[in-house]
Amino acid sequence: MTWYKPKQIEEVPLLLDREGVKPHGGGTWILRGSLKNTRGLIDLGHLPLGFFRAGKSYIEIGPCLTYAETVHKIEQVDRGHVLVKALRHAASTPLRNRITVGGTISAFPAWSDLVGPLMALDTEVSLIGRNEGTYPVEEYVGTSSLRKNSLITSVRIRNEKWISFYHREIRTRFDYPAFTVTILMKKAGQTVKDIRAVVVGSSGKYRRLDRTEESIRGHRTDDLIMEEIAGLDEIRFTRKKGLDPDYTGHLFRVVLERGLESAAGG
Amino acid sequence: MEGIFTVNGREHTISFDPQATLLTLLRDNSFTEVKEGCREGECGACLVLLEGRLVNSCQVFAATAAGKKITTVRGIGTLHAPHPIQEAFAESGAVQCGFCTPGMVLASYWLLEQNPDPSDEEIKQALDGNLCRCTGYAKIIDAVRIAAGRNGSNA
Repeated sequence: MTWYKPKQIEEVPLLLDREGVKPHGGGTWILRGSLKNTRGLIDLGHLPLGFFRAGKSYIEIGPCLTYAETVHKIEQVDRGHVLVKALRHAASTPLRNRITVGGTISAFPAWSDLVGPLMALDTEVSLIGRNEGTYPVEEYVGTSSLRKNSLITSVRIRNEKWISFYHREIRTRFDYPAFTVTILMKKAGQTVKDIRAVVVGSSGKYRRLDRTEESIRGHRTDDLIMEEIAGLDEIRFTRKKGLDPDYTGHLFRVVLERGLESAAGG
Repeated sequence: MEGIFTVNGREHTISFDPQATLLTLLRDNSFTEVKEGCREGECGACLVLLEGRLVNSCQVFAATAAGKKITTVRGIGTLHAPHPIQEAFAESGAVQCGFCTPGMVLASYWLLEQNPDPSDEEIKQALDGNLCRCTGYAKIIDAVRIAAGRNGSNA
């Protein structure tokens, strides 16, 4: 296996075109898998990809920024930001010092604490390489061909205030979540102006909760019966170790109902 | 391949396999205070400070650590000149078999560097990547509290 240490981002696309060569931003995903078919790794550590820029309209995150750094930087912009809630307790303290934003998006493990909030935030990712361009994160994670021979160079979210709710379904503090639920809401008085809700960890890995969103958007919060709304999207779960799919589905609906009530009351 | 690694303040030129982890590199070069546990980043036995940041050395490719500063538990205190955190661990009975102790001490050191006066909740969160099969954690949390009372990582 060969290590490549490019000094400029422009060198990366040529390296990605080589058979069996993968980018490595310093995270943990590649080490978790087999290196059997890996002929080379591109060390991104020498490239300026660990940036964080908070402008008036957008927050831009470099793909090599770790979870710990992301929490620290976003906290300075908005302490109640959903990414702070989601990443503060993800994995463990030493792993949060290694796991990167870009690595998680490209690998998108089913227990990810990052991708659900990014989907709810309508995040865009910029790529270089074979699929150079800017794409919604939902399209990027849902299209395997987009991920091939491409490198994420920037993760962009709108810098706006949301009432947020985030839940990771775990049995012990340091556990992979069975599922995560992200809810973002904007209100004008008692009326819900906008809502976004995403589950990660369901069958098909993730779902935007369209029916839930439609039934809430534009309505007064005191007119909404969250117990009924939480059952509108048919979300299924596969069998996981120690978790029956029906039981997980029931747990999910309870979490969603509580999350909607929490956001509506926020 | 070959690289220069600054371990506990001393430069070492070390040859290693391109697939080697930092854990393997350190243990193969007599830094055996870095313990090999799960090799999955879940137990914390292999913790080191890489450029001052607490990391699982089993989750770091050695190739990416070349040219960087690495601190093992030996780098913060020795048998004859222990660090106050190490003294607090010994005094409060936070060490039984001792296998998790280097990682626990470094995680405590990292915490007290960031936050010299942590609450019990903050101590628990800082040690969330460390497993101990002997003590039940209560004595370990006591030790961190005692060390914090003695001026944290700088005492």
